[in-house]
Amino acid sequence: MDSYQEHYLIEATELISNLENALLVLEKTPDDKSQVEEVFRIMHTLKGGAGMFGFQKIEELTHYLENIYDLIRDNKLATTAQILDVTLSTVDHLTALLYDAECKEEINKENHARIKNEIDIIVKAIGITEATAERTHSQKEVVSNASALYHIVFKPNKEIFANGTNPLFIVEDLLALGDGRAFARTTRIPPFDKINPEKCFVYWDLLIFTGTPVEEIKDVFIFIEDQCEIAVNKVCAFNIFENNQIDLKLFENPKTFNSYLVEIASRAPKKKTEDHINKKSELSGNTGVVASTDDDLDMGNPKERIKNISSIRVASDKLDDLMNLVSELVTTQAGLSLYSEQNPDRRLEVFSENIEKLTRQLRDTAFSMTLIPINHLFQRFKRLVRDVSLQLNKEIDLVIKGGETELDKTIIEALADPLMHILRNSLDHGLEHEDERISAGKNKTGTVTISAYYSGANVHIQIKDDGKGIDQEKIRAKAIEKGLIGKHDKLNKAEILDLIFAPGLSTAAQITDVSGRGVGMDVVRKNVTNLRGEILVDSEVGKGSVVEIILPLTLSIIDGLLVQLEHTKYVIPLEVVEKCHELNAGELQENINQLVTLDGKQVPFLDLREAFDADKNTAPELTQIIVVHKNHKRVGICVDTIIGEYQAVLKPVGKYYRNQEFISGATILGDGTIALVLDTNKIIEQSIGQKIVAL
Amino acid sequence: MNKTILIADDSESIRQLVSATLESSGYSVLVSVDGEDALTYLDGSIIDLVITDLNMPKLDGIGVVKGIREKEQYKFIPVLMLTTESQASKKEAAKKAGATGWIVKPFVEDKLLAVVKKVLR
Amino acid sequence: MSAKGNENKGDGNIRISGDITIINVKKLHQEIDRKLQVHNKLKVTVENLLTFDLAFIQLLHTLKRKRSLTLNINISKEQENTLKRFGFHGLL
Repeated sequence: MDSYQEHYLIEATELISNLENALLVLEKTPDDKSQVEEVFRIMHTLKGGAGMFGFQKIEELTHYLENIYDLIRDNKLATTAQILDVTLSTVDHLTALLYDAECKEEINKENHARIKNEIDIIVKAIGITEATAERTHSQKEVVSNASALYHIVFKPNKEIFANGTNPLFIVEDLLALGDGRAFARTTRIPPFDKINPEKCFVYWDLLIFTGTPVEEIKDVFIFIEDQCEIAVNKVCAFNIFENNQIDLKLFENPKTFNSYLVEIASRAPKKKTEDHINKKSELSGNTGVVASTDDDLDMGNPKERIKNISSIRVASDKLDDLMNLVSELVTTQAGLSLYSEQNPDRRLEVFSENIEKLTRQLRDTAFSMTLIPINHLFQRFKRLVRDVSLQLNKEIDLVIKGGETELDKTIIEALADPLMHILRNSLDHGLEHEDERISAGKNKTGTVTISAYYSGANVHIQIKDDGKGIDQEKIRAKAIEKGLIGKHDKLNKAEILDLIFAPGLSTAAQITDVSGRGVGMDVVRKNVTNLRGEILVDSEVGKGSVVEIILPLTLSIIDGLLVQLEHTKYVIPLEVVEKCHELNAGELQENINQLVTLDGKQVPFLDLREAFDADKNTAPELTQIIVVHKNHKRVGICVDTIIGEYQAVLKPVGKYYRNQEFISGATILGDGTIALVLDTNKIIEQSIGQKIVAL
Repeated sequence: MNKTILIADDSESIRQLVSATLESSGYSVLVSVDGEDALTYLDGSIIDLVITDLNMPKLDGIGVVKGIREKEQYKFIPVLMLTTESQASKKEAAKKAGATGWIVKPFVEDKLLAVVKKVLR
Repeated sequence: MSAKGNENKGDGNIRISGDITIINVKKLHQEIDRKLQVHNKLKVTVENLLTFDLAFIQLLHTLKRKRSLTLNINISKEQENTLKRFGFHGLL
């Protein structure tokens, strides 16, 4: 059972998170029956598995909750804030119970008792009968039963085939109970011209000598008791088939069956006792009720139903292994392509091209497997927003867009904290209090929108609020006070706003519980930069702010621009490359302030020859300047030659390069040599520094 | 030839348990993750029995039974419904839609096999 | 299922073999009915039966009672026993 338990654990974690989201939706639309249905359905699935895989405490709690939601479903109870609160705290507790199934830890014990008590209060208030009643029902008493001869009449309804029931199986099961004979009655079968061959007309008289009690005999009919007439009568206490003195022909004839049975039974030394159980179809009387529940079940899809994708689970380290192998393959394939180019051979060329194609497809497929929808992350925020809005006493609407956008799972994991921080900032500092909003002529409910969308090989994530916006003057003053900028520095709006990411800048007048001290945004930017992403902010006073994070889809392979300096090759991530220019080397050497005019704009530049101490004599006459950009900043990087685009599998650099600031990784080229990957973020930072230079 | 059983359940752990139990008893098993998914198997596969969960996204168990009974080829095949004891009222609705019987959760392997044997031989 | 026969106006023959169950019993019923319209006398032979169910047993009963056709049932000993066990004594 252990592997099933493990599966249940993963599944339950997902279910619990789905349940939480469904509850949050329900909280907003308490009268939406389809949402109640959804909550009920998830709880039910959770409960079903809990019972099967040994999580009794979870089963117990979900069982009570399910009863409550069942009543809501049937319009016997309204969705109240109390019920939702208790349900949500139960949901939190369920997660704890997954890892402490028997509820042994002190804190879980306390929570369990408290939650049970809260549920009890609700349950008692609405008077649900204890669920244990049904359980005891199923624990049947085992009564020893003396063997007896039973006469069983089994008359299936004409429509019984339509339910996939094979009446012969029933007869077989009855015969298996003991020593018995079946006598099929065919008198009701219509003539050939009249018969509908898909209906059932046969019925049976059976005589069975068995020790099985009547209740258990009737269990044979469990699935069809409302689709047939059944009579089980005890005839006598001895086995009439044991001596060969009976004339079966008299039983075979329906006309003589009953009288002969009485005769045979009366031959016995002991007298029979009668036990009459008659069952008739009850279905017809109930069809009205049945039809109505039926309609309920067929209701259209709820709007916010959480999509379930048919999928399989793979351990993430296996995926990592796969990705590594694919990376190796990409490198090896590059080698093959190069070899094929250098050694012209028609067949080799064909093979090489095919392998290149297949490798690319394999790479794309493998990568897509590591992508998961960002909704995994976004859904968590719903709860955060709910809790924070209560805490701050602000009415807040969270709108999620593009949750299906997929990103590398490592990126998503690493994004949780930064996004959480930005969101808290929006909720806390961005959105105003109700009275403030009303006097500003805004809707009293603040709206925060989180959206994600693809753009090329990047994913954009935006967190937007309709709050008061960021006061540029305040930031400017603060930055001057902290010495981040000079008093007379001229900064445009983007540059000023960008200062919120500078270390040690916090504009909140007062520190709150929610977003804490202003230690965050610089760390946020650092985290995003570590993911090779960038983060931007825009804001308009009175209207709101938007923070945008732009990230690469995946971390381990990048499209790069392969360049050369002396004998070494370097890779510049293509996503940051804006434009390439060609210049006379002399123009740069005479430059004093490290600025070069390109397309009419001054751009700071970094001469890699200088930075990497290349031999001055080998410098070519023409220098290539590659303009890279990040976070509104642009820097030109000077190299000798541009080789072209290259798909680079990123490898970490060895320890000798660890402290080298401009190198973020390495990649193996097709010919087996190594190219270093330039860390353009660092280059931009170094060239511009914290000092803002007019661009 | 092995009898083929189609399972429809949105819970992966239940799917695993049911399919492993049935396979170890020599049945061939087809697995689907919800009601809609289940119905897609009906075209092109020979199925001897369907075991479907009652509560499922997209299309519930009742919908699955109805869908099965609409197909000429499957009008008469047995369909078992996975239910829990609290769904007693649903059994009637399921029967009315054309279900053959039900398996009450939680169940153990032996119970599952016993119920399957009731409707498939 | 297979039900084969010749198509002339006189006596007709139908051979029933293979799997006959609820799934194809309606077709078989229609096929025999069609032949009965064409032929004055019909000979129905059941042989090489693989699987059968209650729906087929019922149809056999109607065939047995039908005057305008003769029914020959050639089934295995085992199949005979199965019919007996389920209480269909009158068919054999």
